[in-house]
Amino acid sequence: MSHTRKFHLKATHVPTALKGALVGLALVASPLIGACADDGLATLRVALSVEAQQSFELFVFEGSPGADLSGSTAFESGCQQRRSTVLELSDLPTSADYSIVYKAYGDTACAGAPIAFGFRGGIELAKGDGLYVHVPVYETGAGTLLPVDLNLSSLGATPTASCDTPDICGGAATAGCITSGDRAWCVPLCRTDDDCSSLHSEAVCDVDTSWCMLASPWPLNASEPRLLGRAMTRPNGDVVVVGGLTPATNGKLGVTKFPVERFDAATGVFGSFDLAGFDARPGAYFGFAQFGPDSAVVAGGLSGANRFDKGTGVDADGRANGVDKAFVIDFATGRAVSAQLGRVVIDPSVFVIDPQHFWVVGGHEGRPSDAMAGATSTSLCAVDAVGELSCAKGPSLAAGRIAPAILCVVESADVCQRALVVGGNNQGGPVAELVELSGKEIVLPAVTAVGLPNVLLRPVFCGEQLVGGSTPSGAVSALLLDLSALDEGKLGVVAADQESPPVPRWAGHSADGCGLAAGGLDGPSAMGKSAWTGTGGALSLEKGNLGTGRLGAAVGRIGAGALAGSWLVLGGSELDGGVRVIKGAEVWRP
Amino acid sequence: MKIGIPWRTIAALLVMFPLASSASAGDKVLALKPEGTVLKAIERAALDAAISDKLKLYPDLERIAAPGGDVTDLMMELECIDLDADCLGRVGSRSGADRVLLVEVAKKGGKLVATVKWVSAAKKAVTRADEVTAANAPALSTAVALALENELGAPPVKPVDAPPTNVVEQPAKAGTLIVETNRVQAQIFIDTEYAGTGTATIDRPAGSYTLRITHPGDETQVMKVDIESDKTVTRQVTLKYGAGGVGGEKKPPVVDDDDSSWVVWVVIGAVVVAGAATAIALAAGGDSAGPRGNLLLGIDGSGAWRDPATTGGRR
Repeated sequence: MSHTRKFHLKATHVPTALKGALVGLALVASPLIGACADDGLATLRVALSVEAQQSFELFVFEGSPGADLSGSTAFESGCQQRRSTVLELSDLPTSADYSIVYKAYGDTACAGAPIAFGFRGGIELAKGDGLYVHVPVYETGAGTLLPVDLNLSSLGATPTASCDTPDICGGAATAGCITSGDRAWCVPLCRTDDDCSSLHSEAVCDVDTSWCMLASPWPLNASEPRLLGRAMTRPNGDVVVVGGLTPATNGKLGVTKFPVERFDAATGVFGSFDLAGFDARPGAYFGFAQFGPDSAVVAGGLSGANRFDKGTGVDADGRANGVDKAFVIDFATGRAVSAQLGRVVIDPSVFVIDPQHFWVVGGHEGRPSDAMAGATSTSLCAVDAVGELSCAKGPSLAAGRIAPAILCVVESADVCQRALVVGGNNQGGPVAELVELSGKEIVLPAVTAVGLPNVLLRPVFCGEQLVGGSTPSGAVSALLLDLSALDEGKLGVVAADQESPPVPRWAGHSADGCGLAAGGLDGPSAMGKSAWTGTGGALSLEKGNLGTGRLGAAVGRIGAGALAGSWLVLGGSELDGGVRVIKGAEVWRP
Repeated sequence: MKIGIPWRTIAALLVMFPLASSASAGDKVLALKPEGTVLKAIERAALDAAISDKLKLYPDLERIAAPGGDVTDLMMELECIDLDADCLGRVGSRSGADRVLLVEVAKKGGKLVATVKWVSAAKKAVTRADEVTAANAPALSTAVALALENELGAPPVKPVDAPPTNVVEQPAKAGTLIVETNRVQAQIFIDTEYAGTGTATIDRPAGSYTLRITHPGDETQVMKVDIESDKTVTRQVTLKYGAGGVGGEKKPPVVDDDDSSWVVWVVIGAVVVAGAATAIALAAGGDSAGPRGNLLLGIDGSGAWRDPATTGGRR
């Protein structure tokens, strides 16, 4: 493919999206996902599974369909051959709440299981013409990236006879002519943002390339880059992502502009979320746990960093940005309450004892001399009858720990009495210990662990199985623990799961550890794209990949509506000559 | 005393009380395609379908397939100078028909006038010629169908209209949907059942159906249609060759004569750059449908910016 340009851009600056669009034009209706450039040549990357969509069914629901797609439909297309990426429905009765469901099949008869599933809700159709609605279509068994960084210049291309005629595109500085094969196109260019305003009110000009770009198509994607946020599922099925670091000035990382990102299960797009009382909040390395059906605990953490190191996660001088508070966020009311922990604590764990109490365990206390050494101190926190939060010093650990995994081993009346704390012992000491939480003066035996590494960093529990974690030299396989002799201080391992590769360091885990683990660091400089889904208290490797490799992504299950059972994988960072925070999200559909 | 046969009285009585059906068993009718340049192809096809469907209501009538070519070809083949009774009779004889039916349409005083002509193949003579007038093509189709009863009598009562005997539930009354397309070879399906090519007259119990119209090279159109009891509604569907593409013009919607709620899809213009467009027409009959709008659904993320929900960032 050759490109002839009549404007000032260098070949290597031709945006890949434009090249892709031109290839798409040449091919007539190729659904384009992306393209990569090499010395002026473009290689088209087409999502094969999208291309493989031979037929489809379209449903227009009145309101939101249930998870089983129950509900009243205003229209059903029947089985149609897919020949385009834009559909038009005419003469649809106006409505304030339509939902679109799109099922794509790999054959021409809509037989078998759909290979892709599209959903978009909350569509308000007024009388008139041509409301354009983007319907995200998700692949099955893989992650599908949501749209981001859209090149509006490529999308504004119009065909022309030839680029050989002078001023064929009007001769304005804001239009250029480009060829692809035997076809020619006039493309809008820009020098300033004003030149792009006719394409989209928020479009900006990339002056290096002269292309008009739309950096964020929110609410069709997340609002901002977000590294190391944490996610949970609300009772209404929404996924909320709390915290996260985002690029700030001077190349540093700071807290995100919006403390909470909300994915609306009813509409399939993001929505705003106002949260009061979440002041002096952390962006990363905070303890996080779901606390009741519609609230979460956030404890400690970092509110800024110079950098994120892919090997250790250590921030160069992040101690100054340590957070000394614990928060309980009530998503139903949009209000957070907080309490002082009495210490800066970075990267603790939070363990829920009962519906009113939680335990903030270990973490680095921000002392300048000890380079992220784990602390032995803990805090016990309680929410009183009027919803106020208070925290006090809790039982000390036998070993300093950062982000240990915690499992309740003795429970009474839904209150955890005794907990097993595993890993995070980056300064040595026992890899596991028992801690009495009932307040009783009981002497517990020291735990001797057989079959576990002596040091286990960032472990994750799914039930009684350790599904994540690593030694200083690398990730370990999943380990099913033997707790039968724990009263005698013996902790064993029933079996190591050798079938599935270990979940790598910095993978994003769902809040309960059992849902989905995604991404991580596959090697010293390799981005993990694998994903593990939970079945029966364990994680097994899914064959499909994420749309992009991610370190430290937030992972949350979509809990209701047509997308119920799918996973939102949001943010994180990728290795791009360093560490680059990812602004977009993707949806993993089993 | 001379006793004459009271022909005039008998004729008058026949007009007042027509025979249930004057189509006799074994009667073979050749219905030629309507003639006349005042009708568009789609309108002619609709008229032909209306005639064909009317003839189907006479079970004793054997319909002879119309010759594939148009009448002019037949005239040349039979060395007819004019499409007169002699020529039509010879066409009928050649086809094995007893009678030939030809409808010729002209325009008089701003109205459409159809001459419904019956020719005896054996006699090579016009046995009946009725003239009907209508304001527009759909109305003309209905009028011509009715005029056929002048020759054939009222059609026998259809089984679907017969009073139920052993059934417990009263079946829904039938209505008629006439579908007209701009493609002679367009295939028309009602739900999953093939209904016709080019045009179709569909009799169905009242209810909601899915109408699908396909034609090679054209965008398939799918629509929801409501058939109402004892009503005949005509739907005009314009198929467009190929896909939307870049810079396509926006055509005005085709509006049905009797139902403004029916709007056929419009061509998607320059909004589609890297993808073709499929149009799906959606319709529900009746005047109570309320206000309506059009929806463009894009599944390609590169066009997501066109979604008005896209603000370009959260504020």
